[in-house]
Amino acid sequence: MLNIKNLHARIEDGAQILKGINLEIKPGEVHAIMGPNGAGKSTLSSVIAGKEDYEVTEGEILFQGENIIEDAPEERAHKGIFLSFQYPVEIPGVSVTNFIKAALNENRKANGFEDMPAKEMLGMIREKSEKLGIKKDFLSRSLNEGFSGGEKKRNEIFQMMMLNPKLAILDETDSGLDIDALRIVADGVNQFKNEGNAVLLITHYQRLLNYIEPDYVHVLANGKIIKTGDKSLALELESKGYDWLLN
Amino acid sequence: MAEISVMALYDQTIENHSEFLESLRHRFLDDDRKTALQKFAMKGFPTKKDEEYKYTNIKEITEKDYNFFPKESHNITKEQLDELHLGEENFDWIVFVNGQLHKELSNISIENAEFLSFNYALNDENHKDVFDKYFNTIAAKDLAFTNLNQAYCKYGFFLKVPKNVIIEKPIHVFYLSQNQEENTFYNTRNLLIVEEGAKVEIIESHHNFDSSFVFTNSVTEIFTYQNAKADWHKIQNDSDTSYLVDHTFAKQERDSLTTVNTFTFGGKIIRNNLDFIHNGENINSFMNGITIIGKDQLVDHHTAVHHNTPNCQSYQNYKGIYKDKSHGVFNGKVFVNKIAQKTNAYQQNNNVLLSEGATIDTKPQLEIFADDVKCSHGCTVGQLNKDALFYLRARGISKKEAQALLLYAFANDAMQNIDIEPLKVKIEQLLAEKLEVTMEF
Repeated sequence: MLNIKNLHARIEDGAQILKGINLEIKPGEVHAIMGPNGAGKSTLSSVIAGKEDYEVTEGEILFQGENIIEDAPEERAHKGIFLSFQYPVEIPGVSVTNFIKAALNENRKANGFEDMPAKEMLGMIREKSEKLGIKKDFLSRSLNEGFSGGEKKRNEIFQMMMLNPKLAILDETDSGLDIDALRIVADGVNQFKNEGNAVLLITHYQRLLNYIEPDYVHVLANGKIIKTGDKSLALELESKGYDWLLN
Repeated sequence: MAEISVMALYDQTIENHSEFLESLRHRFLDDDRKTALQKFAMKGFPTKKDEEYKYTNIKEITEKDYNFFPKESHNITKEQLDELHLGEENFDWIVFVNGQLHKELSNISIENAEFLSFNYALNDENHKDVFDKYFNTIAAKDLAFTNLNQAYCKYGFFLKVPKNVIIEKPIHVFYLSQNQEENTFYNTRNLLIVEEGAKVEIIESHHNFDSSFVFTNSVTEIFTYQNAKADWHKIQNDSDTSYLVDHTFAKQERDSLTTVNTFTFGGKIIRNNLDFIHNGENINSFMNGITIIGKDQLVDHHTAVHHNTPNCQSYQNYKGIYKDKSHGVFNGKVFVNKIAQKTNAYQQNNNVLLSEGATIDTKPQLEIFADDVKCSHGCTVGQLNKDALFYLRARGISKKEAQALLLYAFANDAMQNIDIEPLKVKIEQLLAEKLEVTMEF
């Protein structure tokens, strides 16, 4: 599904952050990327999603066999890439419901579908929000405005479930969550997960991986993947830290 | 009709005055009109040397020559009017075409209140007392455009809402100009009196249907009495051959509430002047503005709140979005008299520039002589937040739509106190139209 080959990227006119990433994610897989601060984890997720602050200097990102490096962020979204943001942006005056309607219909339009009928949309919103324990009044509030950290992350997962992407990248979705919120978010991801889609978790801590079980764990340091293992690697990192890998 | 040779507006104002006076039925104002014209003539039109017009060059307006006597005939159709309506069937519509009130195009159901065309009221003996008491009592006497208006005013409306009368339906007043081959000069004058405990809501819009220029020099005086409420919404979405200079003066008595909202989307040059005068305690004044312009349009908002009495509040919230080579000006003055203790004055002007050629000059001006007051002001000029834009695009919303959504969010809080739903919808539609998207917010 996602095949990243020798990816080099830098901040526009600035420092080189990614220095040769190779990563292959197949349908049905869950990958976790861990690593110390400043390793390039969030840059990698932003580059996959197409943030224009970064410039790809070498390598390619193939999504379902197609190089997407030249695609705008919205085109990547239309192809099925979803990024759950570490810091979702507050947008006053635009309700969660209206926003998700706009996003869903834009994606449908790009893929040659008509707008979803309002009734069907409302039903879907109700179903997904109930699964995440989201209250009704939350849906009429302005997008992310005044939301707690937990509410913001839950809202990201809600959007993911509504848009039903092929690849979901969850950037530090566990940060700022208490244990109950973490469990709800993880339940959401596990419900979303199926044989046809894939999940890429970017995380600092092992604890999320207790709830969402990864098939592969990668360690990203200094712009490169320096080690890949299974779930047990995460536990090893938790007890030993990263230093033993860096030296 | 006067022979119009090519001469600038200033000369025409002197030249045409006696013919204008001859054309009137009432003559009791002649002396006042002549005095006003003399005052205007002495100083002429303001130039960029004038502090109040430092950023706003009106030479383009005053260099043209105009017909002062618009042709009355028109062929405005119901269909053309329907397009201008807010889509609410039961609003009252007051339609002026080429200066004349057209009842057959209007829908006037106002009861228990006096609604008249300004010219009719002027000619009516029964209204002489009202004119003596109110007319030109709060309009500035030392400004070029207000004096010019005093000299030439004829068009516009008079509305008096008597004590405790609540007019539920908003009244939409249209000023249309059509079939004018020459550039046309309108001096519009409105007088609104809202007596104790009364309530009224006005929507005002101007529309030029011709490719010749229209210059409207409008003066409005609003009087809001104890416990009364007056809302005035200006929708400024006129053509590229339209100039508008508006002076609106609002005088409020104790416990009253007055709102003037200004939504500006079109017109070549627009200068809005708002003056709020407080004359009692516990007064609330609201001024909100949303401006989206492009091309080489110029919009200038000048506001002034005169806090003359204690325990009053004023709120100003102006949002501006500027595209292409457009130019915005905001100058907000708040005067707090030394007896106006416990004043709460809030002023905010935020702007987004969408292109390198767009400019904004913004200047908050507070003069506070009381010591126990709460006054805040702020202005910002910026571009759209790139992270926010990426967030929306990463959800599949295209760049243009994402921009529009963020700009809608930006402008939205200046819409908070519109309680007329169709007006809100209209503003949202105009926002979408000006931002060139087809989405609903």
